[in-house]
Amino acid sequence: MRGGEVLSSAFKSRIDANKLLLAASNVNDAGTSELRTAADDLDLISGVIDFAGTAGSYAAMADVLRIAASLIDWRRGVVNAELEADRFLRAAKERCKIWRGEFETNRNSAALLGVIGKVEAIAQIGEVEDVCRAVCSVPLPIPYFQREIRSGNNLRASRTEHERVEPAELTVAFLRFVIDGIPARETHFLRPRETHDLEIEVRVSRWPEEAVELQLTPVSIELAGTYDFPKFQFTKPIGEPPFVLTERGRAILNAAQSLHARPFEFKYTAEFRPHASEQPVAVVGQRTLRVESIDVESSPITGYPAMDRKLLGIRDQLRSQRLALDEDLKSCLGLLAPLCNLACRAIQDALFQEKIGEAQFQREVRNELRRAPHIGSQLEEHPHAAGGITDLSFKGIPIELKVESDRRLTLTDCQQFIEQTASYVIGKGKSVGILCVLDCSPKDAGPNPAEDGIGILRRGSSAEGVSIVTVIVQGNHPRPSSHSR
Amino acid sequence: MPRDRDIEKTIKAGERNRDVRELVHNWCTNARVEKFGGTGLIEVGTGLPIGHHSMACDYAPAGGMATWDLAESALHFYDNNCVGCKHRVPHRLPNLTQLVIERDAARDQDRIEREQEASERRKRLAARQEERDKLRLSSPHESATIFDLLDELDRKPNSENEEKFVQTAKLAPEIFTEEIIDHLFSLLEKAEGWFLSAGLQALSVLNADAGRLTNCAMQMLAHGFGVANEAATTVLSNVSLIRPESVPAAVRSLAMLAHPPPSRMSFAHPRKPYGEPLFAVYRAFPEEVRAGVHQLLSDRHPMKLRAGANAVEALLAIDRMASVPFLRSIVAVLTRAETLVDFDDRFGREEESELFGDFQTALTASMEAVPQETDDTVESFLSTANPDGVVRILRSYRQLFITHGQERSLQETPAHSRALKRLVGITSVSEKFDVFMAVVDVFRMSLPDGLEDLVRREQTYLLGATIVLEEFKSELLSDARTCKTGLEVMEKRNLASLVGQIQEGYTKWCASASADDATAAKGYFEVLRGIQGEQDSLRAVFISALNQMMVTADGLNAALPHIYTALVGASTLLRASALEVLAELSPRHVDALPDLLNEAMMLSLADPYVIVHRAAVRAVERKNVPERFRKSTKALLFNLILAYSHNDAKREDDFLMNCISLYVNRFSTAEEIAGDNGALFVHQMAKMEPRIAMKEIGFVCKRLSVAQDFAKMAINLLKTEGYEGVDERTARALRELESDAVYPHRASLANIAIENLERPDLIPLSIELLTGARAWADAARVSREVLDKIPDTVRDNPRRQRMNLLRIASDYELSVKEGKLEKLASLESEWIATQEAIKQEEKEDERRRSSFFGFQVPN
Repeated sequence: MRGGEVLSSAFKSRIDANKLLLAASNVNDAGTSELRTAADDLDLISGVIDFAGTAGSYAAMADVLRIAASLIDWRRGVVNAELEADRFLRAAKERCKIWRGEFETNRNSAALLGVIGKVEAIAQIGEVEDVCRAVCSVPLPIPYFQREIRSGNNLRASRTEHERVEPAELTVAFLRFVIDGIPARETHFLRPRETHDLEIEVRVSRWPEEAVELQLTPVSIELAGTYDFPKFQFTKPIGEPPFVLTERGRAILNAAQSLHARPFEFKYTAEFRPHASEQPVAVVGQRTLRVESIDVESSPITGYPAMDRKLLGIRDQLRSQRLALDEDLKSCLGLLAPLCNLACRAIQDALFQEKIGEAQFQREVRNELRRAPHIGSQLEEHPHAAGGITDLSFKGIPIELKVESDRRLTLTDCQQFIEQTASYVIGKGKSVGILCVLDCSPKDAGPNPAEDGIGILRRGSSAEGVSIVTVIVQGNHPRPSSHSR
Repeated sequence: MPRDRDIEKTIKAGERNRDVRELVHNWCTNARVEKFGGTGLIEVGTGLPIGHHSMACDYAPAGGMATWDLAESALHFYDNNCVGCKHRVPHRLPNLTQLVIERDAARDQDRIEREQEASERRKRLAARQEERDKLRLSSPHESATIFDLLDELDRKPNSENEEKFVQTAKLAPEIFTEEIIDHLFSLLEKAEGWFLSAGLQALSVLNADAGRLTNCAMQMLAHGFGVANEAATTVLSNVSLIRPESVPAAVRSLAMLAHPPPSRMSFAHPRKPYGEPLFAVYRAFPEEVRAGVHQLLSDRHPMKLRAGANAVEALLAIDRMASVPFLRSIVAVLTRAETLVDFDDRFGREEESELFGDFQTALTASMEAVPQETDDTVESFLSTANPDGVVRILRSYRQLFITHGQERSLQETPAHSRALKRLVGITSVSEKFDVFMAVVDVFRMSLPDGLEDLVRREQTYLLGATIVLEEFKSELLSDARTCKTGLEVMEKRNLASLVGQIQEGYTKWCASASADDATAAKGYFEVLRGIQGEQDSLRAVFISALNQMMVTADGLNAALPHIYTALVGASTLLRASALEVLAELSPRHVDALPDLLNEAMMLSLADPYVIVHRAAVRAVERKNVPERFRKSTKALLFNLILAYSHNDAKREDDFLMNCISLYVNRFSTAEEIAGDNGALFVHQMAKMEPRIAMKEIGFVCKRLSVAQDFAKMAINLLKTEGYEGVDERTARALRELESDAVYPHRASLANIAIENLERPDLIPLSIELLTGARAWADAARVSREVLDKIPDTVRDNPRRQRMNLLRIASDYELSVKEGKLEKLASLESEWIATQEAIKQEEKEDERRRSSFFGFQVPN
C-alpha cells in the first residue's frame, strides 16, 4: 500500500476524543473547547485515511462530537442560569439535521444514527450525560493506511490544466440531407445510373485557426467505382460561430442492386484541412445515407411495382430485426417472389373464381413455384417435419397452404394458422416459414390491394420467436359488373 | 565482447561475495547473509552470490544495507552491531576480523599517502613562494599587490581569486613589469595548474607576447589541460600566430570543445559546444587538422577515437566534404572495433556504447552531408563485417529517421533515400537476428512526418521486400518444425517473428504514406490484389497495416472495401486482421464507420474461430457500439462468456476475464449483476488463476461488488502467494464492499491474516476490513494471535511494537463496543507507552545508521 501508515497519529486523536467526551459527560466538567479541538483533529485525520468507509466514520464522529459539545454547553448554561441557554440546544438539533443530510445514508455511520435520534428527542439536561456515554460507546473502524498524497508536480500539472482556458469544443453537426428535394428517408431509393441532387446542411461550432477548409466526405465500404457521391468542401465562413453551412452536389449510383443485397451505406465524415489542423472532437447528427438502388422497373421482382415495394419492406424487416439467417432470407425471398406474383395475378386475372379445396390449391401453388427456374426441382412436396407433414418445402423453408372458404380474411385473421406453420419451422430448425392462404370465401365487395395481404406474423415475442411470412391469395370475387347491379 | 567483459566482472564480484560470506559465517553462528532482489542468469549458472546482499542477525538492533560488494555491507554491519556484542558465538578462522584488519590497514595507508602528498604540496608551495619573494624585492613597490594576489591564488585556487588577478591586470596593467610578465609566462610553461586559467586571461589582457601566449595555449590544448576553454579562446584570437606543427596535437582538445561529451549526471546541464576555435584553426591549417584527426582515428585508445569522431562531426558543420578522408576509418571502427580498439578493464558496456554512439553520430552526419560517398564506403565494408558491426552501422542509419527536440517532422534529403534502401536491402541478404532487430527498430516507429513522398516513391520497393520476406518467414517456420532441439526451434521462431515485424513495418509505412494520396493507395491495393495463391498470412500483413491509412476520409474510403471483404471473407486470419485494424482505429475514425461494417464486426463475436472472436472482443472493447447493435452485441458477448465458462478442460481465463470485464462495465444492468449473471461472473472469477482475476478486479468491482459471493471471492484472492504485501487492486475492491457483505466472511478473512504473517500489509488491511464490517471481536483476535506469533527477538522488536499498536487499537474498539469503558484508560496508557518505546527505538536506530556509509573497503 503506497500511502504509508496513519494509525499511530490517527488513533491517539480517537483516544483523546473519547477521553474528553467521557470527562465532559460529568456535569461538573464545563470545558467544551478541547472537545471541539478534538473534533477538528478527527476531521483532519479523516482527510488522510485511505479507506473511504473508515474516513467517513471518523468525519461523522467528528460532527457528533461537536453536537455533544453544544449539548454540554446547553447544560452548563441552564445550570449557571445563563441568558438564552437554549440556543445551544437549538444549535445541537440543527446540527443533527445537517448530520443526517451528510451521513444518514452512509452505512458505516449507522451506529451513530441512534445517538442522533437521542439528541433530537432530548428535553432535559439530565439526558446529556446519557448522550455523551452513548457516543463513547460507539466503536469505530480502525484506520491503518494513509491516503497516497499526489506529488507537487502532479498537483501543479493538474492545477495548470484546470486553469487553462479551453476553447469551445469543436463539433460538426449534420442537420439535413435532401435528395432530389425530398428529405432523406431511413432507406432512400435512388434509381441507379441516374444523376440525383444531394443537398447537405451542417453546423460547425467554431473554425480552427489553422484550418483552410472543411471537407465532408462520404465513407463507404463499397468499391470506389460503384458510386460517385459528392465531397463537400467549405472555406472559412465570415461571421461569428456557430456557422451553418449548406451545399449541393450530384450523386450517382453506378450499379443496381440485387434483391438480396443490402442497401448502400454512406456515412459522411467531417475533417478540417490540412490534416495537421485541429479536428472535430465530435461529429454528430444523422449523417448516414442508406440508399437502395434496386431497379424494379428494368428488373421487376413480381411484375407489380406496389407489390415489389411491399416485398422489399418485408425483406428489410426480416433483415434489420435479424428474424432470419442470410441463407434462409434468400430462400424465403426466392419463394415470395412467385407467390406474390400469384397473389397479384389472382386478382388481376381472377384465377380462383370458385371455392376449391386445399389439395387443388396445393397443386396450383406447386405448379406455380416449379415454373420459377431458381426453384424448380428443389421444391419438395409433403416432406416430414415435427411429426407432421408439411405441404411444400424449399431448402428447408416450409410452405403451409390453407384455404378459407367461409369468411373473408385479413392478415390478422391468419394468426389462427400460425401455430401449425411455426411447428414445422421449428421442426426444421429454421426461424422463418411461409404461410399462403387462399381466401375463396363468398364476397360482396371487390378485392383488396394484393400488397395488403402480405406481412410478417410472429409466434412468440422474444428474439427466439418464429416469423411466418403470410401471403393471402384472394379468389371467388364477384364480377366487377355485379357491383353495378 | 562487452558482454564477455561484463560477465567476467560479475563473476569476480560473485567470487568475492562468496569469500566474504564465508568470513561472515565464521565470525558468528548467529550472523547470516541475506539476498536482496532477484536472481540473474549468471548467478543461476555459477551458483555465486551475485547481486545485492546484506549481513543480518536476530540480535542486531540495526539492520544492514544491501550492497553489491558484500564486504561493504558486512563491515558496516560489524561496526554498528558486532563491536561489543554479547551474543556472538564464534565459529572458526578466518573470519570477519580479516576484513576489518585489511580495512583498517588500507585506511592507515591512505592516511599516510595523503599526508605525504600534502607535505610535497607544501614544499612546492614554499619554493614558489620563495621565487615570488625574490621577484617582489626586485620589482617596484606598486607591483607588490600582484605578488599578494599570486600568493593568495596559489594557496586558494578558486574562481574568485582568479577573477581578482585578471581584474588587476585589466585595471592596472602598468604595474606588470616585463620581469613579472616573464615570471607569469614561466608559470604557464611549467604548467602550474592553479595559475593556468588566470594566467591565460591576464596575459591576454596585458597584450603580452602574443606568439608566446598562443604557443602556451596550444601546449595546454595539446596536453588536454582543464583550461581548454580559455586556451581555445586565446588561440581563436591569434590563429595566425599558431605554429603549424603544434596543430595536430591540439585537435583532440579542440574537438572536445566543439563536441563536448554528454555528462553522465542526469541532472547536469549539457555543456555548450564551443566550435569556433576548431573551425578557425581548420580554416587556417586544414591539412594539419586533418593530420590531427587522422592521428586520433588511428589510435587504439577509445577516448582518442571518440575525439576523432567528434572532430569529424563538428567539422561537417563548416565543410560538407570534411568527413570524406576519414570515412574508411569511421566505418572500420564501427565494423571491426574488436581489432581496432583497446578496451581495458575499466571499459564497461556504457563506455563502449558512448564510443560507438559518437562514431554513429559522425557517420549519420556524414550521410547527411555526402550520402553517396558514405553509403558506398559502408557497402565496401558490409560484406566482411561481423553482425555486431552491421548492427552498429544500421543504428547510425536509424538516426536519420528520428526527429530531435521540438521538431515534429523531418526534411527529406538524399540521405534518407540511401538509408531506406540500405535498411530494406540488408533484410534480403542477411539472416542474422541482430541485423533484423536493428531494422525493426527503424520500422517499428511511425512514419516520420516529411518522409511521405520518399515512401510513396519507394512503395513498390518496400512492398516487394515484404513479399520477398514472406518466403523467408515461411522457410523459417517450416525449418522450426523439423528442428531437433528446443533452442533451435525458439531461434527460428523468434527470427520468423522479427521478419513478420519488419513486414508489418514496411506495410505500415506504405499505408501511412497512402493515407492522403489516392494513387499510392491504389498502388498498395494493386499489390495486395496481386498476391497469388493461398498466402493469407501475407495478405493479413497488408490488411493489418490499414489502420495507418484510415486516418483520413480518403484513406478510410480506400481501405474500407478491403477491410469489409476481409471481415466477411473465408479466411480466419484475414477476418482477425481486419478486426485488429478496427480495434486500433482512433475514436474519431471509428465513429465514421458505416453500420454495415459495425454489423459485420458484431457478428464476428459469434465466429466459431478463436482468433476471430477474440479479435472481435478486442474491437468491441475499444469502440462505442452503436445503439442499434447494443442488444445483439450484448447477447453475443454473453454467449462467449457462457461458452468459455463451460470449458473447464482448457481454461482460457485471460480472455474470459476480458469478456466478463467488458460485459460488466459496458452492457450489464444492475438487476443482472444482482442476479444469476453476476453470480456466474463471480463464480468464474473464483475459478480463475488468481493473477488474472486480480488484474481486472479493480475494473469490475464497482459494478460487480453487489453480486453474490463477490466478497468471498475477493477475500480468497488475498491468499494468493507471490505477493509480499497486498495486491493493491484487490484491496481497493474489498474496500468498495458494503460492510454487510464482508461480515459473513470475517472468519475466513481473519484466518488468512493469521496464516500470512510474512506479508506485512495483509494484517492491517484485514483489521481495517474487519472493523469496517463491525467484526471488532475478530479484529481483536487477529491482532492478538498475530502478536503472539511474531518472535520476541531484537530484530523483530520494531515489528512487534507496531503490531502491538494495532492490538491496542483493536482492544480499545472492542471495549467500546462491549461498553467496558472502564478499560479505556489502561489501554490509553498502554498506547502511550508503546508509542514512546517506538520513538526511542527509532531515535536509536537513526543514531546507528547515521555513520557515513562510504567507508573504504580493502581490495
